[in-house]
Amino acid sequence: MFDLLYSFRLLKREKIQIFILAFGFAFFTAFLSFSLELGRYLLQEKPLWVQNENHYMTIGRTDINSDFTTINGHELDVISKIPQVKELSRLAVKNWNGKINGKVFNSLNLVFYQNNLNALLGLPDIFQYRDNGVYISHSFWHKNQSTINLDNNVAIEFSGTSKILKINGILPESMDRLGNTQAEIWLPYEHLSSFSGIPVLPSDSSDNDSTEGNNSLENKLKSLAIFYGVATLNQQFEHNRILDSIKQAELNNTKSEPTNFTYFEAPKQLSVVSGIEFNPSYRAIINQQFWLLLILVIGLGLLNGLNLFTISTSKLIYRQQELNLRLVLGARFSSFFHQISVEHLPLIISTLTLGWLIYAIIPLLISGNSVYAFILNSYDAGHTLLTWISLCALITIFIIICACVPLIKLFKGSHFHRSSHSTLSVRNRLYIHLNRAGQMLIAILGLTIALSLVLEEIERRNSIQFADQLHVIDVQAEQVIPLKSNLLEGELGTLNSSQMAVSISPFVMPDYDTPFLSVEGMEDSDKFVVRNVAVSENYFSLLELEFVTSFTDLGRNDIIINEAVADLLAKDGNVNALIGQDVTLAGVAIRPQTFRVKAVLKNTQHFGIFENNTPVVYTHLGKAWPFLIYQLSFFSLPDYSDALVNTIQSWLLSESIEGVIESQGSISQQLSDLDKRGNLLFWTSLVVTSLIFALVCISLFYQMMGHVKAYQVKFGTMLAIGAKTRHIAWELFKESFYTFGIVNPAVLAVIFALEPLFIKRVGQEIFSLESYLLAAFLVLTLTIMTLLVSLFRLKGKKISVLLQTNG
Amino acid sequence: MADKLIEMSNVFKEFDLSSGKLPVLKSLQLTVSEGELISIVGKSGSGKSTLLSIMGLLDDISSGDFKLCGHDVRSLSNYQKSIIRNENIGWIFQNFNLVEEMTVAENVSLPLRYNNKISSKHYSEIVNQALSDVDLGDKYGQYPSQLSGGQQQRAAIARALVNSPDLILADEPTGNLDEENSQKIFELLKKLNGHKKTTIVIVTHDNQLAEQCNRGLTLKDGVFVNNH
Repeated sequence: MFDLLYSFRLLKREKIQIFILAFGFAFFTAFLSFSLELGRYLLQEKPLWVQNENHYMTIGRTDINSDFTTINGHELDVISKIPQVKELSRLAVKNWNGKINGKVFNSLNLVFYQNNLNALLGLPDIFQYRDNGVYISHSFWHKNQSTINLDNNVAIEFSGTSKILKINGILPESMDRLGNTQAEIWLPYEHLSSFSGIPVLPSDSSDNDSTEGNNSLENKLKSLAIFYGVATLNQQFEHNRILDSIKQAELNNTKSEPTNFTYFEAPKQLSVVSGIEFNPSYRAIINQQFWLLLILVIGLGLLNGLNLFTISTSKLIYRQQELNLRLVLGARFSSFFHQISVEHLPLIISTLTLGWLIYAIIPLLISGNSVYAFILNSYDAGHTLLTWISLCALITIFIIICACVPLIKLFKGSHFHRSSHSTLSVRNRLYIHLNRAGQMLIAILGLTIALSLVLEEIERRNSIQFADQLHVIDVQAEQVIPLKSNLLEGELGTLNSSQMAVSISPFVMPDYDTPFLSVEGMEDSDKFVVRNVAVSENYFSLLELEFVTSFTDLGRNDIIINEAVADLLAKDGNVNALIGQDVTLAGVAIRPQTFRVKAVLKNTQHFGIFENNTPVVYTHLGKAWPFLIYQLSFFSLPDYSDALVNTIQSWLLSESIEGVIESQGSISQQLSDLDKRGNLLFWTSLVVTSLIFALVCISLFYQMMGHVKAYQVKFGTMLAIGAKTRHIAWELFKESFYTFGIVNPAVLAVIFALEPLFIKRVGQEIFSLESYLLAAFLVLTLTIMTLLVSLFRLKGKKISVLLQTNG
Repeated sequence: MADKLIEMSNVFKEFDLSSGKLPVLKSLQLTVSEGELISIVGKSGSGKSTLLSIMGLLDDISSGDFKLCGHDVRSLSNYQKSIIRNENIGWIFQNFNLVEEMTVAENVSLPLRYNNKISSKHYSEIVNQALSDVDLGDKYGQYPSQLSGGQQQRAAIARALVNSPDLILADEPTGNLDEENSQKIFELLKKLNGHKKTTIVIVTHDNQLAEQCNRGLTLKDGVFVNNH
């Protein structure tokens, strides 16, 4: 308490300094928590989320207490024949032990489903190849996501069986409960025999089971206590009508007593994180920006630590007489450690309070924008509190270490010097210079990274050079869209092609098929992955895309490559030499096709392509891979948009294609929306960068103030014997400039040493010469400015005050 | 407690300088018994302050034997030295060395806070007694800047007394005071020596004060030239 009271008294002298330090640490604490939360949410690979917008119901029976209970297979069979029921899947529940990623789970509630569940949930055919897997319930995933890293390849091992199954996806939250059962793992029916010892007949898993088959299954599954059904409906959910129909069907067919049925209604909306799982380029850019953000946040922390270290060193030198006195009075090192720790309690308390406030404010600031709403989901109170407490403990330790390390350095083996106040030992002087050098090093490095990021983002934005007033209409289908010929010559030949263009981006699964580009004689290892977009002939002119080479028209055997591809193909940098060259596009399931390079397009952002340097090739619409067409994108002039939608609708109806037409708005609007999630990381990085910049200013200022204070008797003496402020300024400038001169080669050495690591981790060069020079210039300017400001403070004091010793 | 508080035999102290070794104390012999009031005088650079620092365990000897309160100082760890400094030695400085941000009572209580043998509930009582002993009982809550030079030195003496040390080392205790206050402080030290039988070693330039001590030592070039 005594030391605490004393520290509050000291605070009076240093309140602004403490407040600034607290703010720096608070921002670090808040941004570190926020970044970790964000990273946990964005970077954790999740299995496929099942998106089901159909109504479905879980069917069971109510007992005399109106509790939801099991139903038998025969009754479900009756229900499946009711006209309102579109699809019905039988479910059986059993407890079993399992192991996921080495973690054992006892008494898992397994739900066995018929293999028509995929259709029932509305999954497109393309996902059927994953059929031999399991689903996990939303609550199970939510509960275990932090302890088990659930990604696409996570396997579940079931005790006592030879079954090791992969996780397919996460079911909607509304399917968490089946009556009184909390469903956890959903498995195909065919695995039931491994768990019950009862072989399942082939007909058991069929959609159209015969009554005999059902009864046979029913008899064999007596050991399974619980039985439910899950169904989707053909028409709008009408509770009473469905219930009546079920009862009526039951009565008509019954050999048993009429039964009370109940059902659950699933909510329509479902939280789906679209794009992240299936768009590698999008995922890569988020990954990249997240790591940059984390590097900057850690830089912010280091800068704060160094700042505190510097201030503590200067303060301890300034307070050396007081601390020496304590030493004389019998203080031990532990007493000093205790005292310094307690003295920093106000700083720790302010840091944690401010940090919590900033952390709490962040979601409030972003909650107004629905695009960022996903972040609020990640603010799980329980988890956050635990993380926060751990983080607070770490920050407290970090602050105490930063504050106490100078103590160890300064007083290790030190003896009482009555005159020590007016002179600094060589070692202490060295610390002061090392501190300043460290600050300059972090400042130049941090600013170099930050400026590289900013300059690159500016360049990226400047590269959006196409007609952004165009409207985009997407057609998405759950099955392959059958195109008989070039869309504009065949199916949609009536369209006004001067007002619209069309592109097909084949839907490419990460592990499914991705086209490789090669030229004749190229070795397999040199072939590279490209994004292939099939476009109509007028695509480039309508979108006003810019070419590096000349371009006239796109033939069926032509291919347009972008600059990124050209760079990979033209080793000598002569892109014009590539015109007329033959290239081959091939994939695992894609038959090799040879095209002739027609022109080179400038690198630009495209839909689903978020980086300028992504290799992209454009081929003629008539050459699109027919079995990969799930989505068409139409681009139209604003006036033509409505007419285009109508024509597309008619075409889909006439061809019986089940697809969704989505009018996406203008390209600029779309780009803005698409950018937002990535932008969030970018802007957060920019805020952190600004904080680093502000902290650099403040810390350099306080470092310089501390320096002047520590030398105040020397400067006072110099002034007393006739020196002018400019003499002191010149001396300080020389010292700073020498330090600056030494720091810069060190910065360059660090850059060269770290660059490969950054390229590996972040995937791009994050240091550029321009940004380095700019950062070095800024730091030098800042140093001179802080030097001048601190000298002004010195000038304002009387020489007698400077020469006074501090009690 | 040993009768002899300080026993120095053939003590040498040298400082390492870039130009070579600088001998400050040369083959020093000194014995100080309990209850003595000793003055050490000498010119600047004669080694007075170095000797006081060695007596107060702030500096080490280069060679020779040195016993303090019966302990062989050369075998003591830094931790043990801290404890002896706290419990057995009281210091009085020329410039008082009071902490500006602490009240008089807090300054006086400072040595108690480093003494694990005294419970904090007795602090107030002990501090009051020490302040009364130096006639500063009414200045309990005031800050050093609100006191005169003489009062500040009396507060520093109270701080030196508060742990009831066996030995008080005073480094030019009247150097910053006028003649009247100097005499008052000296009288106070003499009173403490008389009543409490506390051993006091005073380093001073003031020959008048030195003559009033029971025993006077004169240092010249690191050796005692007068030991009476």
